[in-house]
Order: sequence, then C-alpha cells, then structure tokens
Amino acid sequence: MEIKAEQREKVTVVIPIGEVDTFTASQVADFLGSQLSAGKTRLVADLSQVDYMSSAGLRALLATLKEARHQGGDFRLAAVHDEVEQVLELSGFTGIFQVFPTVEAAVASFGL
Amino acid sequence: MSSGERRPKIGVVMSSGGIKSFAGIALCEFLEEMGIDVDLLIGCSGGGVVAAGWGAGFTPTQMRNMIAEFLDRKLFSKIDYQTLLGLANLPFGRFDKATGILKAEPIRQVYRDIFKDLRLEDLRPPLLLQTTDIMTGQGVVLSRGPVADAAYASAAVFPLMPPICIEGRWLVDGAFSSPVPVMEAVKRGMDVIIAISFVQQLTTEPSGFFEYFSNFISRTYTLNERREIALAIDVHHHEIVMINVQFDQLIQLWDVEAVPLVLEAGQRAVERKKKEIISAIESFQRVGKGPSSLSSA
Repeated sequence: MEIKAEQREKVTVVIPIGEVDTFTASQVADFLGSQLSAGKTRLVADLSQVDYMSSAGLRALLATLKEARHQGGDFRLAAVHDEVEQVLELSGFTGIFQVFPTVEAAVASFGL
Repeated sequence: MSSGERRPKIGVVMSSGGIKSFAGIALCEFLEEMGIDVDLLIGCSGGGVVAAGWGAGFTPTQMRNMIAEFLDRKLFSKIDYQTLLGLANLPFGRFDKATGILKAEPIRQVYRDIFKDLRLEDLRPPLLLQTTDIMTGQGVVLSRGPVADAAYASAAVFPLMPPICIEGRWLVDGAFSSPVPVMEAVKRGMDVIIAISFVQQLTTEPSGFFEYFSNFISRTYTLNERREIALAIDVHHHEIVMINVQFDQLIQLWDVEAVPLVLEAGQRAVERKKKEIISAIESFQRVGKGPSSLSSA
C-alpha cells in the first residue's frame, strides 16, 4: 500500500492508495500517527483511491480521530469511494466522522 | 501464544429481522461448504431462530424445508380479543405483562415441535440468544434452558406476542435491547466475528398503521445496530465482517410468500462477502506465519 501526504495551508491531506485491511491497517495507523506526532493535527483522509476497507481499517481511522481531537485538532474524511462509504454507513461511522464529498470541501471545513 | 500459532475463534452473529432473518441460512450454508468451524453462535429475534436451528444441528436444506413446513400465515391470525379490548381499556378486556395481541400458544407449539426438549447448554457450538427484560428494558442473554422457550422469547415482538417468564424474568424480543448482539461476541473473546443483518429500505411510502409502524421499528433497530457495531469495531482486536442484506420492500412477519425472495437475497449478500470472510480468517493466522489451509471461495 502507498500513502502520501500533501500540505494544504494548515491542513494535512493524507492519501492512502489501495486496500485497507488487516495487513495494511497498521501501516495507515502508523502513517497517520506520525503526522500527529509532527504536530499536524488537522487531518483529512482523501479516500478516493481506497476501494476496500475492513474493520481493522476503520479501527485505525478511529484511533487517529481520537488522538487528533485529543490534541485539539480533527480528522475528517473526503471523497469516499461508494463501497467504503457503505461500510462507513453500516458500521455507524458516519455518525462519528465528518465526511465530505471532496477534499477541497473537507479542507475548507476547517475554516482556516 | 501469538495469533499466528492458533486458529481464530469464530463467532457468528445473526440479527433481528423477522422472516427476513431466514436470509441468514445462506451464511450457514457457506460456512458448512468451506468447513469453517464456528465457536459461538449468537442470535437475536428472527436471527435467533435461524441460529437456534443451525445450532440444533439442522442443515441449511432442512431449515429451508422446515420453513415451508412450519411457517404458516395462520400462526399470526390467532388474535387474543380479550387483550385487544384490554389495550383499549374496554369492558371485558384484560391486559397484563403475560398477554399480547396474538395468542402465544400456537407459536410456542411450533418452537416445541422443532426443538423438542433440546437445551441451550447442550448445543455445539454454544448458542446465545438475545432477549429483553420487559420490566427493566435491559438485554438478557440466554445461555441455558429449553431452546424452544429461549427462541420464542428472543423473537416475541411485544405487544404483538406475549412475553414469556424465564427464571423469574418476563422476556420479549431481543431487538429492543440489541438487534445485532455483536458486543456479546467481542465480550466472549471471539477473534473473527461474522455478523449478518437485514435492512429494510423502502422505495415507496408506507401505507396503513402496520406498514408505518414496521418501517419505523425497522429503521430504529438499524440505527441501534450501527451504534453497537461502531463500539464493537473500536474495542475488538481483529476483524468484524458485516454482511448486510438489503430489502427494498416491506416484508412483514406474516408475509410467508416472501420467503423465496428472502432466501435469494441472503445468497446474493453472502456471495459478495465470501472473499472477505476467508480473508478475515486467513489474516488472523498469517499475522504470525504462513498461509492457512482454507481454499478460495
């Protein structure tokens, strides 16, 4: 799995590419954790290139969300693939995360 | 011992859903075909009936045959008129915690005909049935006692069906407290949890009291399910595979003619999740060593 990050003003956009499952969830969690450790607490995940996410992947997102909010920031989701959006919906995660149709909308939502 | 040195403990959770829950038979069929041993079965309401049937040793084919044999629209037409009058507080009426709009006995007899004198504690894999205490609203998970009584309690949609007294508690449909009791599987140390649930998303406006009420109940159960699944994902240590069987039309408890459609919907939903189920099991084993012996679906 490939993950990269882009800075958009004071918001960090994280872009995972591929499937987020048991094997890759820890990679995603570690990458997001390293962003938080570097003080980048306003995070957006661009999920446009993730077409599968297991419950382990959801748990990694949730851990990041809690830590970001603990540090006074937030972690928001954007451009979610249809399949993954259904998983978020079924697992109740749309009631926990702020989800935006585009990365631009998610970045703008921080109001910076 | 690390996760890679033992096979995962597998829990199967079957949610409430009335006769829509018969769609869960497809999951039993797939797990049997693949030779996947289940360590714990948990069911709620209609899903509890399917789980009880499978736990009692009936094959998926036998379960499908039993639906045709035992499920009769007439079961849901034995109205207790005294209770009905009691609901409206009319003369000659009677309403108390032991009564419901339907007479319980014909329905309880069906459960006795199916499960005979089997007890929950004798079933392998172990079976847990989710019910709700009508006095406190708390969830009560049954793990012992007659399967027939437990299955009735788990699916007793109050006030349509009367509560049943088990070990001093008056119990009704488990869907009131936990429509998909996935946290019970987490609590009992399962590694891979496979949860099947049934969602009714109408494409047309409901009409009449029963349609409105059924739609409202179904939607609130769904929202409660999602809250429990979110919590379970947060605290669980491995994969939870969620199988969602969607229905775009209203299927009531007594719509026995819809059973073929229900069974087909279950097969389609399980088909889409086969790869994910196998991957969840294999990944538990591979997080420590080489590939497992499960073949691809």
